[in-house]
Amino acid sequence: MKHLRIWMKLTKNAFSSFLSNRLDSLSYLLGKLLRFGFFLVLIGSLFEHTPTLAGYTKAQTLIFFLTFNVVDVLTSAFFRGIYFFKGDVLRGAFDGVLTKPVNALFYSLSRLTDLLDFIFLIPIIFLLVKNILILPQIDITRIFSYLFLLFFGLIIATSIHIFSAAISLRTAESDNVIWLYREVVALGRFPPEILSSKLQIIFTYFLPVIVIVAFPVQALFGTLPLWSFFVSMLLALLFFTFSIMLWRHSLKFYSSASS
Amino acid sequence: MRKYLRCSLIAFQKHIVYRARVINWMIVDVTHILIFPFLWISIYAGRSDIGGFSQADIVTYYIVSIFIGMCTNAHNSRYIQEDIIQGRLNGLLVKPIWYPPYRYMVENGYRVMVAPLFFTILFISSFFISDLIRFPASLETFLLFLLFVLCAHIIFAFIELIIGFSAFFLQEIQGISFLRSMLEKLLGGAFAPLSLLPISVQLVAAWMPFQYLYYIPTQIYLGKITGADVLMHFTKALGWIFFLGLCITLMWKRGLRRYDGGGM
Repeated sequence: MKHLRIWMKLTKNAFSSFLSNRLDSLSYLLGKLLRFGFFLVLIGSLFEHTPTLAGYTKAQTLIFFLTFNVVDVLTSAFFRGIYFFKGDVLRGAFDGVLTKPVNALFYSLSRLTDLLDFIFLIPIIFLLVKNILILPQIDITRIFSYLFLLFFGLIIATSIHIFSAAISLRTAESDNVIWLYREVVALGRFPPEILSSKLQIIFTYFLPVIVIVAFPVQALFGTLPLWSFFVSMLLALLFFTFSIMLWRHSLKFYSSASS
Repeated sequence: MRKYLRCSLIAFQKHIVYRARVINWMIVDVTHILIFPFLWISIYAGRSDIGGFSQADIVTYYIVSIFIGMCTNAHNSRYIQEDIIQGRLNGLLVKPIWYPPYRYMVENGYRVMVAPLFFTILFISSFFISDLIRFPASLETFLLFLLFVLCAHIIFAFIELIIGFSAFFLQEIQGISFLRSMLEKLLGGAFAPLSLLPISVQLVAAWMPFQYLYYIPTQIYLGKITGADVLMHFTKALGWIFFLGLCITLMWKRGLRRYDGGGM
């Protein structure tokens, strides 16, 4: 309850900050809408040249793209603070966070929750539901599987954000690790079958982009084997456990500077 | 000129200290385009041509786009904003250098480190995908391509300076910088050749300078723009360079009048 109250207060402060720079916030929103709209147009253009993409129809390809956007919006909205964490560490401002009666990792990840990003979820969810409803043989089991695996995918994504924070504490050369994650996870915009089998293995077990985005969608289509569910749960558990261990280990190496 | 080259050298030495960071940024700059060759290869599926592009054309398009990105990508606006809002500009204004070319040369220090590394990787990779890479039809085509890459480099640098100088008037510019980044990639042809997109997108792109960042140079490399069209596009690119240069000069003069040196 304490952390929920703190999160609500931090979110309110962050929203006030975003509203004080209306032009800046609107530009961000417009840029994201442009990017989203462009990829919708691009997918439409691709399907003018082919009836299927790696065996998937246009509606199915759109579901991959929209699921990627759900993951991207939720993680970037909740964990916006991670993009500024490196600066806090370099300036020694993280000292102030450590003295607060709140979990330092929770504070660092969630201090800049971007409510404006949630506005963006409205068209995404609308289009997602619209395309899911036109799928053949859709039932409550598949929808539940989709949500179940999406949950574990978000845990893996959260773990990667924690990895990024932990690496920021250990080395000065880490301010763009989170951007590397953002670019790699963007591979999940399209069905994984467009990649070679070797790349699919890399992006399933080592950089689990396919687990985060494609597994839930394939479960929705009824094409995901049962053992993949266990792979997703196991990877989520491993990534989360290891990320917390790395964070705690990295905290021991933090030396305040410039405070 | 020597003092500006010295600034570039100092920036290069600074980047050498944080090598992993620079390599990370190089990977980040490249990764967002890498998925697209795979996407198009899966669409081709035995077909010889889509929208006037062969499979080799489309793969070469993205490799060349990445090459252009390496030569042109700049992240100046963030540093210019910091100089302005933190008051660091004060120290630079009293030095015997002009700030815009100083910033431009400092950014080149990054590029000098990243570009050779990238070209080496590209050269090695070309042996593995040689059947999917097209080389320019002639030396003349390649030289014209390099000329347009130079134009792209200047246009990109000017746009970054304009975004950075917006901090004189707006303070926070990350949103505008992000919007610029999206327009550059979408209307510049980084994500897909403009000729494969709907006519409405092509019409909007035709009126903006972003097409000269990726699409036009790449089309010249592939030999799809030739003859009088090359001259027309070169004239347009020069026109944009002149216009953006005017904007920079105006924003610099007006911005300095508003600048109060706060944040020291």
